[in-house]
Amino acid sequence: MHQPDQNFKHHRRNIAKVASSSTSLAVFDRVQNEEAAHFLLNVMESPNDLFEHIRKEAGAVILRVTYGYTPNAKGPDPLVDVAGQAMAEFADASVPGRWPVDVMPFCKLASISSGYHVCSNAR
Amino acid sequence: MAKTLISTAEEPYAFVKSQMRDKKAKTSFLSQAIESLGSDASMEYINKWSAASMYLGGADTTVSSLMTFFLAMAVFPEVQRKAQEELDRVIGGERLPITSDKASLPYIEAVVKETHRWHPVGPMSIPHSCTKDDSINGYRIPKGAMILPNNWYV
Repeated sequence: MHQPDQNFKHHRRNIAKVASSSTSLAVFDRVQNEEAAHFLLNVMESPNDLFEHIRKEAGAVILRVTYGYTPNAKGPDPLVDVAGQAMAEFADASVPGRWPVDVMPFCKLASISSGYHVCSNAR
Repeated sequence: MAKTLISTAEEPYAFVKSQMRDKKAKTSFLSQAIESLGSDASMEYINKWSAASMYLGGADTTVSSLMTFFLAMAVFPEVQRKAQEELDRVIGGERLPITSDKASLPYIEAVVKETHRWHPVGPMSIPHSCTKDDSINGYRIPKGAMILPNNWYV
């Protein structure tokens, strides 16, 4: 997690530049409209894969806005998949008390002291 | 975790840099940031992680809201019928609705807002830290305490 320091201000300024007003966001309307159409085509073709199509649609919109990268309209895409994996791991890691290190701070030292079994996965 | 996170930031950053070198880059958040802030080592780090937080912040959250929307439409078919009626009446069957139709679709707008309220993406937000001593209903909240807000209650 991030502390409010000088770098944090830069991040905020960066993001405010594109995501602060409806005018600056309107640039990306076309992206959303196009990806919504891709999504509908995919759902018509294989409605049973709805969740897969949702992931693809959301990933495509944000990848195009952030990086100007257009993922494959069909099938898996390496960048969409890596973000999904990162978020799954983040959700897992950020559940309070999920890891032994949350309640036993000495687990941070486990890497140097070769570790108690209870500390594995702690970091 | 760390390895996945780093490739989430590095891989697309490298993509944009190489597109910019070849003058093929499409206008994006990151290409604009690199153009306006430059790409020396310290700015490179900031741009890379601004973009990664936008990407990660936008990817999974939207997925959650869209899934909630489909669940709501399945559980409340009468709402789905009303929404469909509005679309048919305002847009007709000849084209897809686009962003600029938003103002003329108040029921759809309400459905979207209710989706976010019914199942917020982050019901307990992410942990925040108190910047100064405070108290609420007689409970003292010291500076630096970790706060986990309950967004459903707000």
